[in-house]
Formats: sequence, C-alpha cells, structure tokens
Amino acid sequence: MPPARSTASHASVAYLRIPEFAQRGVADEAHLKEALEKVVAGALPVLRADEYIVVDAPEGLAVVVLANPRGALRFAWRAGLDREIEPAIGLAHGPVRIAQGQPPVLYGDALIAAEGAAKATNPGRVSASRDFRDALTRVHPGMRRLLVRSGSAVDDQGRAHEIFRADERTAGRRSSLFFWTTILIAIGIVGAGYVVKVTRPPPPVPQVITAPPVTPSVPEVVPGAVTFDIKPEGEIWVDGAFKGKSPPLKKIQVPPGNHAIEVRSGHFKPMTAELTVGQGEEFAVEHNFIAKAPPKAPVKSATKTLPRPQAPAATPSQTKRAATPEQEKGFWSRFFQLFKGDDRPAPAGSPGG
Amino acid sequence: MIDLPQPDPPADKSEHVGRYRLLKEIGRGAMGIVFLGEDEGLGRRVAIKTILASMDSEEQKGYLARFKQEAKALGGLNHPSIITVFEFGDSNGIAYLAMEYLEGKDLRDLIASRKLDLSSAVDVVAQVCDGLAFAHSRGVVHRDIKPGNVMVIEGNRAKIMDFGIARVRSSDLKTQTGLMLGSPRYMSPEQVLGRAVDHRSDLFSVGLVLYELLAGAPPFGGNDVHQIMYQICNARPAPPSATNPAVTRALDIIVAKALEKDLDARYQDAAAMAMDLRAALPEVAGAGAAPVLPPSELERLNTAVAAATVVIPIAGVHVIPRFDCDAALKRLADPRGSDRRRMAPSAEPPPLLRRWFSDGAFLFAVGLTAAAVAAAAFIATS
Repeated sequence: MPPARSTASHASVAYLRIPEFAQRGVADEAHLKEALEKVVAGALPVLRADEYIVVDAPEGLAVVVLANPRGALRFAWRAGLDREIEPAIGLAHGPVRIAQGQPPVLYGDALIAAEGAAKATNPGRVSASRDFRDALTRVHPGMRRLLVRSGSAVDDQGRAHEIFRADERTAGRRSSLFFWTTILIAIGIVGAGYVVKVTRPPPPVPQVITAPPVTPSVPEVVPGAVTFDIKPEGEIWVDGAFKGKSPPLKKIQVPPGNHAIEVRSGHFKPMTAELTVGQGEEFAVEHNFIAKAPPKAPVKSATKTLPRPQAPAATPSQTKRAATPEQEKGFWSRFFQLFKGDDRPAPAGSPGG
Repeated sequence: MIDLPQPDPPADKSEHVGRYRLLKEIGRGAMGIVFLGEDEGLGRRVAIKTILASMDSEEQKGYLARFKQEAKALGGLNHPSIITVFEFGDSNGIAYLAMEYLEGKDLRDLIASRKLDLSSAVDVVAQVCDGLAFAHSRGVVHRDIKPGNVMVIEGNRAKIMDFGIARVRSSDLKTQTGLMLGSPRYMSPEQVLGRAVDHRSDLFSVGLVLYELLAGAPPFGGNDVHQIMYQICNARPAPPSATNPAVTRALDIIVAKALEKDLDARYQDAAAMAMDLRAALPEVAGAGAAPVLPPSELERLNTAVAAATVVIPIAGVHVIPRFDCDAALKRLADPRGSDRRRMAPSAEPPPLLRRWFSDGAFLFAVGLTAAAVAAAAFIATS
C-alpha cells in the first residue's frame, strides 16, 4: 500500500455500460464484453498512454482518466460512436483510490457516480455528472456549453446526481449553430458592404460621359419634388394616394405635371393645394395645424435642380451606370431610400431599371 | 473448519453396525465418524456414518435430529451426482447411515494438488450443478457446498456428499435462520447475514468452489473468519482470469453471475448454470489443459491473491490486465509534480479572461471583426 494521503487523487471516470447486459446469456455477455474491450481499445488512442486505467465493471467497462477531463469526454465520444454495442456512457469526476493487489483494485466515489450516470443514459448516448462538468469547465471553460442539464439520477448508494447530456451530437449541434450564426452575421456585414459599394457614385470620370442604355429618342423625365414642414404632424396624400406621415417624411418626389396635395391631421381641417410641378422643380409646403393662421400656399423653392446636359453620343458599352441627379445626393439619404422603397419612378438608366 | 481425517486406532474388526462389518475409519467430523464397512450379505463396500459417542446428550440430540434430516434428504435423492444412501438404521442405540462408498478424491485435495485441469474442473462443477438442480427440484437445499463435500471418482464423476445441514422443505427439524451452519469460507452472503436461505445460496457456494478451481485460490482470502465473511458480503472478487490467463471470458462471467450478492442478479437455478458451464466447455477444451504453473509462480500468485482480496474495498473494480495501465496506476498511486495540483480536488473557478478566451465569445468577436474589416476594405477599393 502506498502511504496514505490525506486526500484521494481526483480523476475522471468514463463508465461504459452495455445495455441490458444482465438479461443476456453468458455466451452473449462474453461476446459483448470482448467487443466492448475492442471499442475501448479503439478509442484509447485519444488519450496518452499514462493517462488511462481500464477497469472491469459489473455491466461493462470503466476507464479512469487522470488529469484530463476533456480527454475523458473525447474518449467517451469516440467510444460512443460504436453502433454495434451502443454503450451508455456515464462520465464523472471525483476521488479514485487504488488498493494494491494482483490485479490492483480501484475504488472511490467517481466510479460509483459514473455508474449512476451511465445507468441514467440511453444506449449510444453520453451523460456526465455535475462534478465532471465542473472539472471540465475548470480546465476548459468554453466547454461548459457543451453539457446541458437533462435531469437527475440516483446511484447505488442512494445519492442523487445531476445529469448533464454530453453527446457529441448535442455538442456538435450547439457549436455548429454558433459557427453558422457567426458566418451569417459576417456574410451580412460583407453583404452590407457590397450594397454600399453598389449604390455609391463612381468617382467622376470626365472623359466618359455616360448615357442611358435606353432609346435616346425618349425624352428624359426628371421628377420634381415637394418638401414638407408640417407641425405638429400630418398625413401626406398626393393625388389621393397616401405617401406617409410628416414628420418624419420631409420630401417626396413627384413626376412633372399637376398634383393635388393634401395634408391631413386628425380632426383638423385638411390643408389642400394644387401644384403644377415642372421638371426638377421643387416646392415647399409648410403648415401648422395648431396655429390658426390660414394655410400658406406652397411656394416654389429657390433652388431648382435641372437635369444635367446629356450627351446622346455615348456608347452603351462604356456606360455601366447612369449618373442621375439622384446619385449626386448624399450617400445616407440614398441608402435609406433604398430601404424605404418609395414608389417614385425609377430613374431611367439606373442599373436594372 | 478443516476437518482432516485423523489417523485413529483401527476399529475393532469384529465390530458390526447393523448388517455391516466395519473395516476402518475413513473420516471424522466434528460430530460423527465415517467408517468403511462391508455389507456381508451383498459383499459390497459401504460408507457408514455414525454419531460420535463422546458428545453430551444435548449435543447428541441435536446431531441425531440433523442426522435424521440428512437421511431423509438423501433418501429422496437418487441422482448420479449425489451420493446414494442405502439405509438409515439404529443398531444397539447407535444411529447410522449406510451410504455408497466412493473411491476418489474430494475437490479440496484436487485443488491443493492442482491435479484437475480446466475442462475437467468445469465439467465437475457442471455435474455438481446437475446434482443440485435435482436436489433443489425435490425441495432440498444443501447449504454446505464446499470442495470437501464434492468427491470426484473414477471417470471424473462428481458426487455431492454430506447433506448434514441440508434444509428440506416442510422439515420437522428447526434449523432456524440465524443459527450459522456450514463453513464460513463457502457461505453465501445471506447465510453470513442470517437471512432466509434458498437454493440460490447453494449456487453462490458453487461459484466459490468454481472460482477456487479456476484460479487456484479462493476469491476471498485471509485466515480471519470475520474478514472472509465481510468480503463475502461486500467485496467483488477479481475475475479468475486475472490469476489464471487460461480462464475464458465466459467462465469469468459465469463465476461473476454465481457470486452475485444480489439474489435476483444471481443464477436463479442450478440447471441454467450447468448449461452455461457446458456451453463454455468447448472453448476451454480448445484452449487445452490449464497451463501448469511452476510452484514458485503459483505461490506468488496465491499470496498476491490473498493480499489483494484482503483489502478489496466495497464497490472496488479490478484493473483489466489486458490493457497496459502501469504508468497511469503509478501516477494515481503517487502523484508527483504538476499531477499533485491537477489531480487535487479543486473548486476555484477559472479566471475571467481565460473563460472568455475559451468560451467561443472570443472567436465570435474575431470572426465579426474580420468580416467588418473585409467589408470596409471592399468598400474602400472601388
């Protein structure tokens, strides 16, 4: 006997239990035990040679793993892959002592707890006790999530143990979920970057004057715009169609021509205006429902944006993108417009338009 | 507990018991003497069991009752694996039992001399099981199966003897539970604990005998009765193959099943055990006779077994010698260096930073940052 130490060494135990072992005949049991030994021998290479002790157990085998809980888990996963025996594997961590003899005898709490965990496990699955999870987490905190609480079991000594599912399948599902979420978010970021790049104006290239790839005989229509400054708020209707609330709506684009603008707000008297909008013309509508002042007529803004001179001779092959007045505006407003999906007519000559 | 026959002054040649002439004393137990006798009428040899006269009357009464019990138990049992009883009688106040005289050796001698090879041993135990199955079917529980009570005669035939403390169903003899009878070394846990004993108790004892035959040493060693009894109730012995590599896996399992402490997990009837033993026989026969180990090696093994079994802890499990685990065993028995820390019970949680790093959160952050950088670079290169 080694000199008695005040504390027993703690080790991990993987208990491989053959399902319904006791109900089988001796020949069957002998065959299964032999097969299980082969399974264990096949899975042992995940551990170092001085890390494991294989012991005989009443309904299977147990492997004591020294100072390597992750190794024990990997061993269990590997051994659990066997489809012929489908051992139910219980993992525990705790005191294991050795009684010298020929052959030596191991005993201790961890062996009992592992047996209890194995008994609470379905064939082909892996379970772990809380002590095992704690031991694993101490060394590899990230593996905490791999073990999910699934219930409790009572061992031969009548003690209850928390049981954690430790299947490779469960663990794999969790880590792959994590992995794919990360990938998706990353793709999202890159995708957003792509969108930004696509909608960004190209640097001005003076030599190449772009032209729409549509038939040049059709005169280009440049929409006009109406800006709103409504207090406190109002619904904007243009030609009988609801366009949104202002605020936040500030500006809408309208095709050139006559338009009936109506601004409604609850029980207030709606403000109406008839506008004749020319190409690229901009009107400003200001109205305060609360102030009893008579509604102001829309005024034509001072700024009037006109279409840039077009060069009809440009070859379509040279033009990737038509520069419309739209694209001269700020990046963020265009970015938001992309998502607002307003029903303004697509600027002729825009990509895909 | 060992009742070796003592050389005794030869009985009076002219002494007769009933119609049998006593030739010589062949055995002596605590309470009776067994003589070799001769049936003068038939000219056949018989064994005559009598009561030792030197007992006080109270003891004698008890023994007489048991004696009758044996006669009654045996009288109804006619089986090739059970000793045959010819007559139970009373001659001049001496009760006697005339039985078949068996020329052979009992298992105790055979184990000591290791004359029995593996397949013969298995065969003998299977025969014992046959005999027990028959006795059990007649409601007789032997309760004292031990190597000394199994005789192996010519042709490797086994005979169960000494039904002295056998329990017969609807017996008029009060062999109350709680009174310990039998040899402690071959008792079942329920016998040791004074619980109700049924036929499965015999199977435990057979398991012990089988173990000893296979391994060459009893599973529960030590010379102290209490130590043995404690282990009978609590310890799980090493499989016999640990001592004798020629023992097959099936035999290991049969032994383990017979030595189950839980009655319901044990063999439920002797016939099933006999069947399993016979099924295991071809494999043993194929392996040839058990390797005869040199005496020194035997001695070492036996002492090793004895040393090991003395300290078998409750719920202990045995290292499987097929796997080479010596290095790990050394580490476990005597942790050195960093092992002292790594194999110590510890409850401290890991440092926060380390937790983050290995949590996957770090990877997640790296992944997203990489994606963001890629997106930014993509935008910039227009």
